[in-house]
Amino acid sequence: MKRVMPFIWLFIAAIIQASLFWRFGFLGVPLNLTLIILLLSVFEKVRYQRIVLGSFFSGLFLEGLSGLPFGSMVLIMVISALLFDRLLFLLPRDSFMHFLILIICGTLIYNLVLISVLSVMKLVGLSGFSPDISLVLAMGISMEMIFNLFGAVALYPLRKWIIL
Amino acid sequence: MANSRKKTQTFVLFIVIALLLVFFGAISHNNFLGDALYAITTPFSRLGIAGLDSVRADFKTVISIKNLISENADLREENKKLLGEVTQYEDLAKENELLRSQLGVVSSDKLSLLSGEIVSFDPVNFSNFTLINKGLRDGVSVGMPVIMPGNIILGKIFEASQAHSSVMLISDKSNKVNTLSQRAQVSGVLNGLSGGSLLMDLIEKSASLEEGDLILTSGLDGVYPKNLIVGKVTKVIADEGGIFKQAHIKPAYAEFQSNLIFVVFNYLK
Repeated sequence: MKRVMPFIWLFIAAIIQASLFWRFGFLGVPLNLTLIILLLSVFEKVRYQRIVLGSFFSGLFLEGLSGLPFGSMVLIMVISALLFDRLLFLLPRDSFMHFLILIICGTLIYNLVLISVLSVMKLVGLSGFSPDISLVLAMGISMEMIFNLFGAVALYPLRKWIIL
Repeated sequence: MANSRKKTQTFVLFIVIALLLVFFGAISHNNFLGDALYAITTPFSRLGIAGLDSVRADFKTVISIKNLISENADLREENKKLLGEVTQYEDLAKENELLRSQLGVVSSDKLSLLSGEIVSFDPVNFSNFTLINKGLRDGVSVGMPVIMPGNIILGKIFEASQAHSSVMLISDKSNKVNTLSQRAQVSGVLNGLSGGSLLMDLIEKSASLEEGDLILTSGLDGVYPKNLIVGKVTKVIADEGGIFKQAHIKPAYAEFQSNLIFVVFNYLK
């Protein structure tokens, strides 16, 4: 049960993200709970197999709630997890401040992956949608970073129970 | 080194699985995996949405108690004014119907609606989509307009599966809508901007458009029925050198708290 609980938390996080937090979003951006849980797990140096599984399942849960082409959320989350592992190991992970820096970098990486994957999918004709590269998009990413920072501060004390 | 290679192999394996899912979703006519995921997740998201709306309604009531007396007085006055207008419109409608029947002209404004529910707001950022609980088995097809109670435009069906569909909101930049201002009958084209806001473009420079003007669909694009409520003008932008002016529109659907929607069945041209 202990090994399954984190995935249940991921499921609940995806539901809350798609239902409750959307109402409180700004510029079409809600708090990204699933991303925070993944980044918390990276910060706590959880084994990479669990990180990959967590990213895969969080993508699947978001897939059922998203209007994007099927498979795109799984792809985005798994690629993001790979980049978190490859790029974020350079960041020290031994203080709360480092954790907040990791949240900012992780949010930026996730959004870059999101924009890239959706743009490529649109290019090859798999999707009719990709985010509009503009000042508003940059503002939206900044807003998401701020929301995620607040979410990270709130979830940090609970990390032992929710990490993968 | 061996550990790093094993790590990379694991990640690559999952990326390949994800790509297979994308490929499956693209070629499959019956995406049972997507339908299964939808069936697992949406009952919970619907509960979340319903619960939140209920709590917000209760809070709103408590917070607005002190304003109730003045709000009540304002609403009574507005009600009297609207009653007068409704009576006038009813007379005009009767006259319209009589003239149509005398000329043998059939009204084209009857919309066939299928009611449904928003089951999820897309959790992906910057995505102007939302999921509804009606799909191919309910007769929904791609391109059908979707509205909210009160004839408020929401968007159109972008993708349809058996049990659910994704709705592209009018705030998406690829969703162009021909619009008209109710007061001055000024026409324009609506463009979505990132972040959920709307821009009405190609407005004649000499046209009289003011903040607060109500914007409706004109029906000229053949996608959306006419006279659907788009929103209200929040700012008019008149570029001195340009031949057109623009207006920022606050979408009416953004203020709507209910998750009830209607798919318009008989309008696709």
